[in-house]
Amino acid sequence: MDNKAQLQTLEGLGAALLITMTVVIITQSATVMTPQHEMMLDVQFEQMAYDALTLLDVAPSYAIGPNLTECVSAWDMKGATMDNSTLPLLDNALSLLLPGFLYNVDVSYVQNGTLITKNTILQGYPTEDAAVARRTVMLTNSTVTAAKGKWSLASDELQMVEVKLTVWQV
Amino acid sequence: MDDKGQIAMDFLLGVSLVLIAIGFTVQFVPGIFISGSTGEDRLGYAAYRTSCILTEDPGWWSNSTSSGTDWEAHPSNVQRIGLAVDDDVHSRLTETPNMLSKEKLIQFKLLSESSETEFIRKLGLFDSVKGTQMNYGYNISFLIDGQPLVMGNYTMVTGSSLLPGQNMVKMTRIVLIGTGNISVFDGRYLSRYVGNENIASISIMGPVTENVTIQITNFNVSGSNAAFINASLNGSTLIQSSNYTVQKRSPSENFGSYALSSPLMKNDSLRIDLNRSLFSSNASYQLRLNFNDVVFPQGSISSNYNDNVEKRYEPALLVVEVW
Repeated sequence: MDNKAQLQTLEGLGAALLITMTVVIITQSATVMTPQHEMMLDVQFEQMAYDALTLLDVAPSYAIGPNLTECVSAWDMKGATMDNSTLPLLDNALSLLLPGFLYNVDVSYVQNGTLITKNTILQGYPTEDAAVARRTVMLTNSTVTAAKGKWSLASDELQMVEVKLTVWQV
Repeated sequence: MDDKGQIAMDFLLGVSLVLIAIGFTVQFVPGIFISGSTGEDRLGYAAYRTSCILTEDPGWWSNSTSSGTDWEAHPSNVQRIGLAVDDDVHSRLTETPNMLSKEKLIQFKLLSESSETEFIRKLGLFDSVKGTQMNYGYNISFLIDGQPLVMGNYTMVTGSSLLPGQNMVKMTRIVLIGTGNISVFDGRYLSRYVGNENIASISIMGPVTENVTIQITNFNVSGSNAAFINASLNGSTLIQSSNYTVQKRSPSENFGSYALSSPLMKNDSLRIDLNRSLFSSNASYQLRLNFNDVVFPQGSISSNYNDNVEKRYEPALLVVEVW
């Protein structure tokens, strides 16, 4: 019988066992982020954004301050700068509904045949996992007058405005 | 003895080691990538579906002759459980998603307690494994300011609590929950109690079924020490916290508790919540709200609570957890 190379084989087996054990322990203890997990988080995030806008739109005006139409009616038609929002009522309502989130709000509307989009709340630049929600409101002369806004609408004119909310977390 | 045809011990050892190694790899490698997510996508769908039906659907009941979305009045014939408020019971859908009705919430809680099997079936919180029904674990709670909502004698938490180390999927929805009645007055038009310009007078017709909540927005402030002092009913002064609670909202904050005689601004809103037991008999009650440095307009007829009364809604979170 050949007695050479005996030790190397045993060492090799021992090493293989050690490596295998390490791999097993690491994969068992680490939480694996599967695509399903991420999908649920995205759904949750987008749902929160849509809920916030829906709630503001259907809410009676005394429940959480002014509702979405009243907030947009009160707009002074100016664009926002960083942390200097031009829709303070909406900013206040959203900060209560979405604590711990950052958000931007854009409004889009058509005037004299051209589409105008302006930023009205600017809190920064969204990260890549941000969610977007949209809601359309209809303004009339009377809603604007009641909210003391700067929209110039004739008494029989309807103005559709799309409110786009971008929400993210840091 | 014949030495031929015998297998060498070393060879046998080698072959068995290789087989064991292959067996282990086949067993282990696929498990790395699906660890912990077996069936989790199904839980996700169940949680998402449940949260959507509860917040966006008014529910449905039907029997052989009639049907509608007002299932809270016919809990034994309920087909689908939904909590959204609906004005037109034959519409089959609601125009106000995310606004939840108080009556439906109470029936929801009662149903979950009286027959849990039915409740789980109606909400679809189960899975069929080879023809047998496997119920999911679930917990559905309604939170206001992080605390479970208490409605009458019920705490709005349904289901069991999660065992540690279990896979769970959670969906959170922002909703408005009907919590009673409210009457909103503009402070600049609220009528004055005869003889004192700092006292507002409101008449309330009893009996009432819900707490009487009065919200006053906009104050006609006449000095630097504007404040709410106290409330009295039919001439006798009420006691704060046992008879009523007061909350204040300034334009930049949400409602928070208000200590009597603390400062009040012109744009603040004050919410006074009076216990319903004060208005138990079939009579007219006179409520006087005593302020300092706040002036109410002239007027001999007092403002009426019942003319102005509306349903009261508060922002809350609906949390659905499924495992």
